[in-house]
Amino acid sequence: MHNSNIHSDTFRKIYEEHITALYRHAYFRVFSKDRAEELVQEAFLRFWEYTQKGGDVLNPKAFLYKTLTNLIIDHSRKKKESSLDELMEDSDWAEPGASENEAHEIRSLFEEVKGVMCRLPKDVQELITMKYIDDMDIKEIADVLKISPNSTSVKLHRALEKLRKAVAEKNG
Amino acid sequence: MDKFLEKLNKAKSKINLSPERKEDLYLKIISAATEREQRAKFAPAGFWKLSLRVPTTIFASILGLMVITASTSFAAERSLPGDVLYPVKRNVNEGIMKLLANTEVKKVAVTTNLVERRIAEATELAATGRLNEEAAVDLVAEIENASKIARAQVAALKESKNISLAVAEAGRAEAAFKAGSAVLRGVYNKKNREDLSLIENVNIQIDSLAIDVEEDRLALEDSVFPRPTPLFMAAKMGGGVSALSAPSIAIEADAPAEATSTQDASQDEIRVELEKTIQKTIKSVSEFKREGGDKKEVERGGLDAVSLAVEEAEINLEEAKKSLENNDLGGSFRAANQSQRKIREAEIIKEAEKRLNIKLSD
Repeated sequence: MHNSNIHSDTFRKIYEEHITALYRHAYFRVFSKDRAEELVQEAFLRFWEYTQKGGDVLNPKAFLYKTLTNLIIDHSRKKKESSLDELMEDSDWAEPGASENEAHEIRSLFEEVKGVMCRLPKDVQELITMKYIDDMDIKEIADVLKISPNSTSVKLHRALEKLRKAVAEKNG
Repeated sequence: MDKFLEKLNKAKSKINLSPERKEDLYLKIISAATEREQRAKFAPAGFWKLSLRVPTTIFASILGLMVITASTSFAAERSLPGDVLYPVKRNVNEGIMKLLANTEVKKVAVTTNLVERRIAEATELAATGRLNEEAAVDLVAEIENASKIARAQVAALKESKNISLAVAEAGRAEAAFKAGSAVLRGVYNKKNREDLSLIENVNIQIDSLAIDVEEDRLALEDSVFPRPTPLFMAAKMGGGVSALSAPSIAIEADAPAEATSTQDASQDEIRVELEKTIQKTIKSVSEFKREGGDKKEVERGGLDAVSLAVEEAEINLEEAKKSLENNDLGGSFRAANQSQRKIREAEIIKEAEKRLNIKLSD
């Protein structure tokens, strides 16, 4: 898409197309709905500003994911000192209106997912999120990471090994 | 491993953005983009190029001046009448707020915010023993003036057929007055000084302005859903008139000349809107409860002001849900609005408590 200075209608279309997936991606990296919203908002803002300044974006999806990923890295650097317990307290999993049992079940589910994900290095978290939360194929992941599809396959294979270990450690 | 992936997939399905949240987020992005563009106008791209041509000391002075201006504006936000930076807060910061309000709704929101700010200043002065007669008179005059403007802006919204927005904004203004009054009353109850009569006077003025705004809001609500007449209520409770014919009596007796929303929107649409409002308020109530725990009993055995407002919001939510189940859309509309107002009051009181570092009991 060669679109320097994109029109707001085009921006709206891109927003509608990617907002939910980006929000989910951010959520499964930071495990806080509010922070995920802030990060996604900032990613779209940067996309808007870049295009308004005449920047060409050939692949909006890859651009948005790359920007979001960088923002998540900045965010995790700032949050480095937070313990897992603090991060758990930070989360807001229970939906309003859910029964106590449902809320408990959902909380346990998210705690388990988060418990495993937090054991993984950031780059592995990123790959697992792109593969299993964003359902991206190798080429799409390669576009975001700006590496070749072959390297992506190798990285993904190693990431899955690390995930397997983390699951085993958590359960064992 | 497979089990974990299944769980990951299940967790993924639980993370969604509602259409309203998406819309809110989109509006936030657009408004932040506009704000950044505005800010960029103060420092155009050529500024940095210029910096390469002028001597370093001059450039450093310009940059320093800009930093001082920004930090002055920031510091001015906490200033009170009588402080050196107060004119900056009033003329610069609030001037920018007014300039950026480019729609009718944003204009009312800014005016309501000004009401909140003036009441907060009166409260802070009172809490720190700095409220003198001159400041009290000035602040009351400012609050009165802002209230007049807000009411006129709400009336303009109504004229432009944005009745539901007008009801919402009138409700926000009302919440600002009522919450402000509650906080000021809390300060009054905690103080034992000579200026109590002054605080009481300011509070009386605020309460009186709250009544005016409340009357506006009630009239607006009535123009959306005519209030049932005593005759209708009697019929509902088994009186002489058939309950089936009662709604038309209510409309004939109470409906103002202008169109009601029931003529503009279908019952189903209204129902959907009400359900959304109810869900949104349920979320706010649960957020308050999660943050502050359940109702906090305070020393005197009563509830603190925030918990009290949240409790009232909850009671009204129940009423709104019950009325909706019974197909009483007007009742549900009023109760849902009341519930939203109470949440807004809780937000304002909580903010004031944080600022004043005191806990207010009822």
